[in-house]
Amino acid sequence: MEQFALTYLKEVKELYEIYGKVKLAIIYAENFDPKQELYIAPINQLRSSLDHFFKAAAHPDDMEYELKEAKEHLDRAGYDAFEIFASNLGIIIVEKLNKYSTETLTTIFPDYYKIIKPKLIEIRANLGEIRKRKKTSVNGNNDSFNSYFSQIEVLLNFDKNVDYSIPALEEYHQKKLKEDIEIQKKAKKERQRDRFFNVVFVGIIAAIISGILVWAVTTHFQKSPTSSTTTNTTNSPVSR
Amino acid sequence: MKDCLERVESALEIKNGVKDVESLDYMALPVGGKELYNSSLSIGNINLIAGRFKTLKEGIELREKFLNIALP
Repeated sequence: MEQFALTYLKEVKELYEIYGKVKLAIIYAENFDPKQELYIAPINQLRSSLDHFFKAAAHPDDMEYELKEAKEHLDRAGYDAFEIFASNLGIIIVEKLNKYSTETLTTIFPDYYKIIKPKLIEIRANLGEIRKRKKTSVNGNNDSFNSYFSQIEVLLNFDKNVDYSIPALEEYHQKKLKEDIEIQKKAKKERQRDRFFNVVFVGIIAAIISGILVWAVTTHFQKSPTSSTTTNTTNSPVSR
Repeated sequence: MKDCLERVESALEIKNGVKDVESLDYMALPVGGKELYNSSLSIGNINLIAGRFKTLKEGIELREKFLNIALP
């Protein structure tokens, strides 16, 4: 009995390390949830895990199996918390950066493209893996939550870095906006000037053409009465 | 205590036909609908412990949103 108690204690102590990380993951997931909602799935897994711990203590013959099950539920609780945490934080990071152009991000926050974006893609791939594993109900000791926990720290770090870079991004963004507005104003002025010159040019051309037409018509009608007068003169009875 | 457990087991057997209590699992937590929780601890009409569970369905939707969001 004493040997069993010692073995049980040793095994549980080993699992305590995972439990500590799972607990942190759940706390992070709750605290970084924009709606501050309590996610039900990890709690469900912790409840099942507790069940196996007690069964292991009560049934020495099944201890190994029960503790293995307890660990699997602990891991699943961690995955569930990690899913919500990573999804929430990933969406928060993307939404914070979405309003800035590629040029702004490249100039002010080059780490986004070099480090953060590739890691976000990797985390998405991990979430896809977890989803696949859940569908096929395969879970084992080889895929401990431990390997995912480090990604929580990475995401927290990214979020902090994004927050630090926001003032510089905003400043550059506003500067670029002002420059764009200036360029647009300048272009508008140029367009207006061009339009003005076009109108003036067309006006001048129209005036010249009108002048020529008026001159031509006037000349024509000035000549016509003279020629009719001449005809009339030659045919007049006086001359005859 | 033993007597009490026996009575619970007997009640379960009558209600659900369960003979081995060890084979029972917890009932699944809510996945939709009744997700609000609160307590009787209140000052006036302000509940001191109140909130909302994020349901399993909502958790899956959130994950899918992140998996499909366009990265800048």
